[in-house]
Amino acid sequence: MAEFALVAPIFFLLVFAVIQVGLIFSAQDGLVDGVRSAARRAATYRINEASFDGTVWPSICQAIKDEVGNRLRIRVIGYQAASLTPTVTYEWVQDHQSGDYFLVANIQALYANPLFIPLVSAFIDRTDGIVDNRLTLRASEQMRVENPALQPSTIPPAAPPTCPP
Amino acid sequence: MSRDELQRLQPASRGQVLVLFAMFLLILLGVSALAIDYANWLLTDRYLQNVADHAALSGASEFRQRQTQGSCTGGSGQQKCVEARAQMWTSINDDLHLGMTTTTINCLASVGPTVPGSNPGDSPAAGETSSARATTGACTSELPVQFGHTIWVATPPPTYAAYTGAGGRFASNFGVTFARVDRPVTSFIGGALGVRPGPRTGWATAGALPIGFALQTFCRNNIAPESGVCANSAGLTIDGQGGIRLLRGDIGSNESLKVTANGGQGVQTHNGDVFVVNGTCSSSSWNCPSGLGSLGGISDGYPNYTGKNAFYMAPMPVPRFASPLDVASVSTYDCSGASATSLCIPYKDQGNSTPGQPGTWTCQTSGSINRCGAPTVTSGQVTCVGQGGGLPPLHYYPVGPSLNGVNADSAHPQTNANKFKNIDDDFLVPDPDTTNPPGNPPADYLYTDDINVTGGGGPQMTSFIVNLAPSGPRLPGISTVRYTAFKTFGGARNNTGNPVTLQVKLLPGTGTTAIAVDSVQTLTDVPQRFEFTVGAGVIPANQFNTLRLQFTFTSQGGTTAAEERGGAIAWAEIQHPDPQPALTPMIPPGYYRSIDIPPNSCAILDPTAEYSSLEPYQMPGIYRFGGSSGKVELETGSYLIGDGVTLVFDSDWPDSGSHSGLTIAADAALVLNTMRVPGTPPCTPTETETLTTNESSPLSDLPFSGVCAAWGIDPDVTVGIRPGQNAWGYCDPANLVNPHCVNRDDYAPTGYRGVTFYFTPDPGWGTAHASMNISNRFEMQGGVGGLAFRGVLYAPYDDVTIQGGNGFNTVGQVLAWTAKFNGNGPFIDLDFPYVPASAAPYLLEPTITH
Repeated sequence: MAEFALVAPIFFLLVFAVIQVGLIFSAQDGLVDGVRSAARRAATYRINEASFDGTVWPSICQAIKDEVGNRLRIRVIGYQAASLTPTVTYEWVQDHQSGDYFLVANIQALYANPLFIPLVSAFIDRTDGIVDNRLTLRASEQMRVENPALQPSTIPPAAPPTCPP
Repeated sequence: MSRDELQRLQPASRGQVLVLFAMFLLILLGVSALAIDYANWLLTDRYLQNVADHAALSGASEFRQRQTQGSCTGGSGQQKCVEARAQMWTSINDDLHLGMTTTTINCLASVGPTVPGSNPGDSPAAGETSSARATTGACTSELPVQFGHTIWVATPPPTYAAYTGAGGRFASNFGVTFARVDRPVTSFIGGALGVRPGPRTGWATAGALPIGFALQTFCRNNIAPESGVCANSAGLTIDGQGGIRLLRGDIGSNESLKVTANGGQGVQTHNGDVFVVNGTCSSSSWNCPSGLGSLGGISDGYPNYTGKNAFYMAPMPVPRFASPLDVASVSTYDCSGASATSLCIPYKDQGNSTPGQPGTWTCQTSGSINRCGAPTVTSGQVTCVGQGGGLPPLHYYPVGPSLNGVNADSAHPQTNANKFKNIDDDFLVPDPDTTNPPGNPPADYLYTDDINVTGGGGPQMTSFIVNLAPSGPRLPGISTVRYTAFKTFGGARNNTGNPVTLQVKLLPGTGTTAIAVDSVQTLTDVPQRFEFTVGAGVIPANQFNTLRLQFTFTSQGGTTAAEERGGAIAWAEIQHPDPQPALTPMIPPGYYRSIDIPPNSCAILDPTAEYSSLEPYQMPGIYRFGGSSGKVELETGSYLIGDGVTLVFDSDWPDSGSHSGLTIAADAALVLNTMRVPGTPPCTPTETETLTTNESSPLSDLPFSGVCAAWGIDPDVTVGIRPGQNAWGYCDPANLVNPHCVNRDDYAPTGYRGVTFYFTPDPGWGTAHASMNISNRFEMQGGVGGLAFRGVLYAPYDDVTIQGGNGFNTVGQVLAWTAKFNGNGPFIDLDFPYVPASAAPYLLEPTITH
């Protein structure tokens, strides 16, 4: 009995750690897949340099952000919308061979995954530097927007505007 | 008790952790399954998605010529679909390492059972687990290959659950490919717990699009300028029985689509698709998205009328077109102050030759003179035939202000140094100079300097040339030249000093060889009217628009400077026999408040003003309309025709309605830029100009569109303000040797996209439009007429509302804030002819959910 008393904390810690880490891994898997899926949606959401206009750009950004949430809802177990911080950026990427410029969507998501299991949560929680009983997971994906490339030019095209946070 | 005894009394605790571990094992396994199996499934998802994307895109590359893609069940379209499916199978074969031969792939793409809603070559509803289908019929040479997956390949996407259950519905969208791959997955740990996952799925649709919008609306709730909602609560509203027939090009809307009449026609897409940003097909009145066109949905038109889907698109910003008014900064009645950089759109007023503001034009019918034309429609061509009385004003311009010391009289100083009008500067108000005998003193005149005789013996002379106003095509007949002249001293009437004679010659457009020469007249201080006739056939038929008069004043005798005298012309004209057929009423370009065509009449917008001439630095073909009380009204049965014109409306142009705005009454028609003016180079390479009347075709079967409007926009510029260009050269003074300034050969239609209607936005671009006054732009009141034009209708901040039962045919592009088609008339035809180029393949989904 005395031995068990000695072993029990470590044992429970290990068991709980396995459970909590398993949950975190599944959430991370869902997050990565959701972000990739949203990136693919962004690839088919055909925008071009004319879309940088201020009258439509915020709604384009919002549409992709919403898409990240929609994809995660069916992939992350116990998904909480408030825990998601999606970041959408677009940039021009030049093809090294042809010199064409492609618009590339960069989708990044931070998800503050809630920690359920006692004891281990206290340790895991601190690994991301913030004590909030949540572990911040992150995933990002880049995909080229399905649109004709800009012709090669000595002057790079004007950078896409920043999406509002 | 000994320690041993004590130990025996204790309950055995060996194996305690093992028991606990067993208790937790289920949870541990579950969590591990979640982490490991779930990751595996998602990995499979991504892999299958890539396979499907790859396949769909490779198939869609066959449909680059989207405008020519026809049905997959016959004709040339069928072969394209077979090739697309073969491409998809090849892609899947490579990605999944299936090991099928080319023969097998080609057979799979072209043979097999036809399931309801699909085509030969499409995979069956249950999908395919082997290539067994390719061993039927003529394809018996190869052994079936087991896939290890379930695969669907179809074009267009099928109506069965393999597709509709997975995503959306594009059935009968020929030119759209569909590929789906299912793979059963194992559950390494979850299986021990009895979790049996379904197969993982990857699917994709792809097509070649979009190629250009025949109709695009920009209304969106969260975008300026509209402070509230769209005026029609939808970007595109079809309200009534008449639907839209999309002949070429796409429909794009930043808002939703709506059909609000029971049984109303929807959109028939012949070669094009429908795209919306906000998929609000939730309106119960919109049979969305897959309904038949006859039920208010989207269909593929004759001969199938099967349902189609709408696609999502990203929001599109309003394209900014430069306005003709950007370069036309001068508006006066005579273009004074205009220059090559500040072009002019002069005020026009039919009843006032010097209006201080835009005026009106109407073809007046009074007494026996009918200045209106008679509209005739034969086999789809609208012709406006003159009925007589529409004589052009006989208008004269001196060649140059300083030539041979020609001066204006002091009572009528000219503010514009480029020209003189005071041979006769007012043709509408009766002028005493034109009467016989002429008024004394004359009302106004043009005079020479006193002729210098001090240089030597013999007669000294001075002369100047005036261009005659173009008279248009005339039959050869006896023409009469009349002029009023007198003798001057220092510009004032005088009968003393050296005698002065005048000889008048009728010159052709170039050269100094006279067509006819009047006898020499001796001038006195009393204005006298002289005339001479020119025999039938003497004037060459091609010279009626370029005639000139040369006035040569000669000082007869005398050598004293004090005796030097000059001469003056108070008025002159040439009268030709009435043209046959009679001239049609021609409306010159300019700045109007209103144009009114009386019932059962017609008139022609004449871009180069061949019958009334243009001012220097005037923009040809630009008809500007402004004023809150303005109207362009075509009364019952009337026609207004114009080619090579652009109608520019100020931002204060009123809504259409009763006697305001742009109103087309029953059986009336506004036909613009659908053919071309007589004598212009063709808009299409196949057209040959043989007509002397202005014919226009409201039909949609025109093969191609050039500019054909006066104002063109550079279609290659997509960011910022698209620069514009006038398709006609303007009249600069260096060109004045040609009396009507703009030659019909000056039309340069290449490279630009013509704008037929330009509704000017409020000043500024972008957020400055928040206070935009949204206006309704058209009202049509039934009957068989309507609105037909070729070119762009640019009204990005206005509601284009086609009310009434008339037809509406456009070969070009409609850009509007919202568009509403309301009436019981026939189909509204939209056609975007500009981009015959290939369209790259794109992934299409997701679709509008339903």
